[in-house]
Parts: sequence; C-alpha cells; structure tokens
Amino acid sequence: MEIRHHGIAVSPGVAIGPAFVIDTEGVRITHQTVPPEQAAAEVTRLRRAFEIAATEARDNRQRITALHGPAIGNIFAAQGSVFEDPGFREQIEALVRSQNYSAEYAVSRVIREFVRRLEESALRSVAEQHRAEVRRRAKDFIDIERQIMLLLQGENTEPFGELTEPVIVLATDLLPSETADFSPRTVHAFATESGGATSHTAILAGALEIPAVVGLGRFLSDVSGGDIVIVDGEEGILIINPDESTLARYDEKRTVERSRADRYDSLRDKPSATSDGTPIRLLGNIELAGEAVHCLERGAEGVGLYRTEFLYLNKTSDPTEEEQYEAYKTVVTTLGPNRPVVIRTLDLGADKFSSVTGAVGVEKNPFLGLRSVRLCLRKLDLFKTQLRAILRVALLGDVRVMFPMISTVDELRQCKTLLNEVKEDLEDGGIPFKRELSVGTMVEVPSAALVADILAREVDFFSIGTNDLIQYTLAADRNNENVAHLYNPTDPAVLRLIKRVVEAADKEQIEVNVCGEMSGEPLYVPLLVGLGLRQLSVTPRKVPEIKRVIRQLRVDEARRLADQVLEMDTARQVGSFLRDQLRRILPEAAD
Amino acid sequence: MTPSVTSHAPNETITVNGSGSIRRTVRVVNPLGLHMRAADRFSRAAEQFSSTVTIWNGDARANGKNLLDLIMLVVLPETEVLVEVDGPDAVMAIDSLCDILAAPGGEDYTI
Repeated sequence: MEIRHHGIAVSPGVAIGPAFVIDTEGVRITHQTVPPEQAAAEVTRLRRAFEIAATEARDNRQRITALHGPAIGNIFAAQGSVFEDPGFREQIEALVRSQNYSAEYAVSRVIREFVRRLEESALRSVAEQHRAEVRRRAKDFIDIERQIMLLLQGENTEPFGELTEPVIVLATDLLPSETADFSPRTVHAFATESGGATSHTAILAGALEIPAVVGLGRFLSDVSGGDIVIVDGEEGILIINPDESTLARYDEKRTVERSRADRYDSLRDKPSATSDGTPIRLLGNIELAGEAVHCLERGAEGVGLYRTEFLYLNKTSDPTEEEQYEAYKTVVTTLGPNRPVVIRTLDLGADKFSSVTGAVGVEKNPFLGLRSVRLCLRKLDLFKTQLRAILRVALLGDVRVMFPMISTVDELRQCKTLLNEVKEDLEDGGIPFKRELSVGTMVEVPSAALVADILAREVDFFSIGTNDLIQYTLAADRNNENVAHLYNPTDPAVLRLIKRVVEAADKEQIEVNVCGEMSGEPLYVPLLVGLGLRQLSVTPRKVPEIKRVIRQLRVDEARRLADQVLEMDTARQVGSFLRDQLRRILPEAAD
Repeated sequence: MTPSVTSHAPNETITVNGSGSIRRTVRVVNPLGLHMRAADRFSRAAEQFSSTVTIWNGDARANGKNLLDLIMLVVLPETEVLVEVDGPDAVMAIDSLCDILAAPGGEDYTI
C-alpha cells in the first residue's frame, strides 16, 4: 500500500525508481524477487548466512567478554540467540517460498516489520527516555539486518561507485564519504530522515541537480531496498510503493518537466541580452567543483559565486592548500581561461565549523557572532592557506577573490592587507602566483550597503548577497515561521539598499552583481535590471529560465518599472505589482 | 483476556488455580526495561524448565521462551508484568524467573 511522508523540498524535480536504502552501511538489495525455481537456493543461502552469523556472535561473545566483561559481551549473546531462533528464520524463509522474495529482501521485510512495530510502540510512550529506549531496541534489529546482509552478499557487496542502474537513495542522513561517488546517472534522487534546507545533503542534491527531500522524519522502517519510490522535490513528498494512479500522475509530471528542460536547452547558445540589445551577464553559483560543468551546460558565462565551505565541512581536519588548489583548478580549467570564476573565501559560522578548528565556544547569537570573514580574520593560518591557493590558481584563468560578510571598511582593508602579505610570502618562496588578482566584496550587511560609496573605492567589484542582506535589514530569520513574513526581497528598505549599492558601484565604475536567491527568481529580474544591475549570478539550473525573462525585457521599460516600485510603501504592494508586470512580460513565467 | 489475579502486591502474589499454573506480578526494575540482553537471559532461563512460561504486559502476552516474542512485548522500566508458569516444575521456575525480572541488571549472565 502507498505510504506518503512529508519533508522539506531542497532540490526540485521528480524521480521515480527503486529504493536504495543505505542505513545498513552501504548494503544494497539488488533485486526483490527471484525466479520460482531459485527459491530453494535462496533458502539455502539464508540458512548458511544465519549459521555463520550465529557462530560469529558466539565467538564475539567470548572475545568481547574476555576484553570488556559480560555486560558488553552479552550483546553478542543476545544477537546470537536471534540468529539461532528457528521461528525468526522460518518467518523469513516463508516469504522466500511463498512470495519468491530474494533472501535479502525477505530479511529486510521481516526485520523492518519488527522495527516498525517497535517504533509504533515508541510513539505510544509518554516519557522521552522510554521512547529513546524503544528506539534503541529497534536499532538492535537494524544491526542484525546489517550483519545478515553482509553475509548474504559476501563477495558480491556492491560499492556505491559501481552502481550500474539508477536508484533513489534513502537514508537517515548522508555522510560525505557515502556521497563522494554519487553521479546523476545512477542516483536519480535522494530522501533523508534528518537534515534541513542548508544541510550537506541539500547542498549536494542541488549540486547534482537531482530531486531531493530532507527532514522527512522516520520513514526507513516503511521501506525495503528495491521498493518503488517517488521523490517529489517540488512538494517535498516521498511516496513509498505508489499505487497505479499515483505512478501515472507522476510519470506525466516527469514528462512535462523534461519537455520544459528541452525548451530551455534551445536557449543555451542565445545571448543573454534584453530585447533592445543590452547584455545582462548571467553567471552560475556553485558549491562543488563538479558543478562547474553545469554552468557551461546551461549557458552561464562564468561562475559568479564559488562557495568554498564544502571543502571544510564534515572533515576531521581543514583542507590543505593543495586540496584547495586542486578543487579550484578543476573549476577554472572547466570554465577555460576567459570566463570569470569568483571564489568566495570561507563563509562559515562558528556554529557549523569543522571539528578541528571549531575551538570557538557556543555563541548565544551566532548570526551576529564570529562567522564568515570575522572568523577568518581570527584564524589567520586558515585564511592565509586559502588565499595562497586562490592566488596560485589565478594563473590559470580569470579568477577573482571575494570576501563575505564585510561589515566595515576596516575589515575589508584588513583582508586586503592580509592578501598582500600572502603575496609577499609566495614571492619570497619563489612560488608562481597572479599578482593582479581582482578583489571584490560581498555586500550583505546593511552597514556595508550604507558605506558602499567608501567600499567601492577599495575593490574591483561588488556582489550583493540578498539572503543575508534581507535577513539583517529586517532582523528576521526566514526559517522562523513566526517572523518569516517579515523576510521579503521586495521590502522598500531592501530595495533602497540595493539601489544605493548599484549607484556607488556605477560612480566608481566597478562591476556589481547580485548572487542571492533573489536573482534566481523570474519575478525580481525586471526590477533588478531596472535598478541598474547588468550581472546576475544564479544557481546553474535557473540560468535558462532567467535568460528567457531577460530576453523579453526592454531596459527603458525596466527602468520605469523600478522607478514606480521605489515610490511604493510596502513589500506587499511591490510584490503584487511585480507579479502583474511579469505576467505581462512573460505570461508563462508568472505561473 | 487477562488471567484472574487475587492480589496485586508486587513480587508477592501467588495464585495457584485448578490446572496447576502459578502466576505472580513482578515490577521490572532494570533501568532499560526488558531489553534484548535481559530478554535473552530470561528466555534462556525459561528454556531450562519443562513448564510453559507466559509473560503478560497489560493485554499483550509473550511466550517466555521466545526471545523475539519477549522483545516485541516492549516491557519498559518500572512496568509490572504478570508471569504465568504452568507445568511440573512450575514452583521452582516461578522463583528463578521472577528473580531475573526483579533484578536491577540483566546484562551479566553466563547461561
């Protein structure tokens, strides 16, 4: 029967395919059923696996009891009893005989049923410590499943990198080591129990451009490897064992999506310019080196924002200069010598810093705390290492460096001084690097926007980070449902700051770009162009859609539109006006 | 259906009915309840007797000699369960089995 779970949609699209459950340490169920004549052989395989598991458990009990005492050793005694339990094995064998299930699938079905029942009774418990205890017991079964699976698969254990047919990966959470070999060819989507919009998993899904839903809560006990699942990355839904009408509906949805993608494909080689011929440079935002190719595929003219945090996250130590150099080099060589690549220096908060360097205490207010460039200016070794790698790789192409979270002129000057020190170090060491590296700053703190005229004299370019700019201007966290309504790109306060920054850049004749999510929304594109922006940096997937809007625009019209908007009093007024305008300019984009 | 019990005083109630079965309520004091190891110890001990052993947790019951059955009974800490033993060695069995349930830890066993 069809089961639905709701989570957070983090990467759009729809995927349908067999489930690949990886909470059992990479063990994979390749097929659900076997031909009837093979059932007897499956039973033999099962019995053999159970026998070995029981023997191993007995050996472990003795060994571990000798080492750590009976309280620990008896974990294996209990597991051994489960492996030896004839009723348990018979229940599994019955599924192989009656349903022609493969040994692996039958094991998974029976154990998942135990796990599901335990979790149900956990939900009935009032006390949190009781719920936790029952979940621990459910985990015991997962461990038993894992052991049997490994024995059943023996030499045939198929590592991730060798997946040959497409699957949908389901997991509690995904570790970087588990996802290293993912490719969109074989992993068509993922769904995880934990995680939020900015989790590792979400970032990765966006990078691979595959649909993903995270934060689904507990669902792994409802699913076995090989079950057909649907991941709806628009609505944030995971559907396990969909019934036929659901399948048909999603099949159609997928077809529509593909035809839209084909239509956008035809735009790839057309120039990004308004209908009256003003070029609007479209760049891509990326996080992983492997995404650079998406920028080219979508017709982006370069990388407007290369986030480097991924190199630091979930590591036991910070990345070396060489590791960084190699990652940056991949991006730069993919883009070629003439397309710009803007590398943003580390933009991490103290709250999510890698373990080794994270010796900063817990902050009461991390978003107003030691994060991003503030942290880098405290950890000079770390910062210098990154700057060295950037200066060196800049020899290979049009590389630019950008500092995030600058809130004062002094801070920016400190960064520049440090960059000069690193240049001297490299020179002293006889290491080749690019002396004339273009330097820019993010404008994402209201204080920076207010002194943009001063900052403009210090740098070669600006990039407006609208996500933080909006959050800091309105003092509202968009992930907090109680105040999310205040977070609004069309708020007059935000628009005035953007206008001010563009004017300051124009006055000093430096480039200005918008790299926040605002620039990837068709709705805001006419306004941004009208405010004077001639560069937008968006997630690669959005490039064709935004280009389509740009090609329908006329600059004089956009200017008039912006003038009208700047006269308005409220975000709501601006929002509905922009929706009307977009409907007029490009009816299909307004849906 | 729940078997009839004459008194509810924990650890003390013994009811001998016509068929020779003995019942006693026990409070499980193990801080983890009847978890996998404790259940394993219990079922292994129950196996030693020829009597049938049944544990009741409210309306749910489990075969005391079957580990998986016991785990799925989901006995949490401080739960009162009813142990029912029926057979020739019931008198001997009830004491030793109830001792296991009433013991603070079920982890250290050598059976």
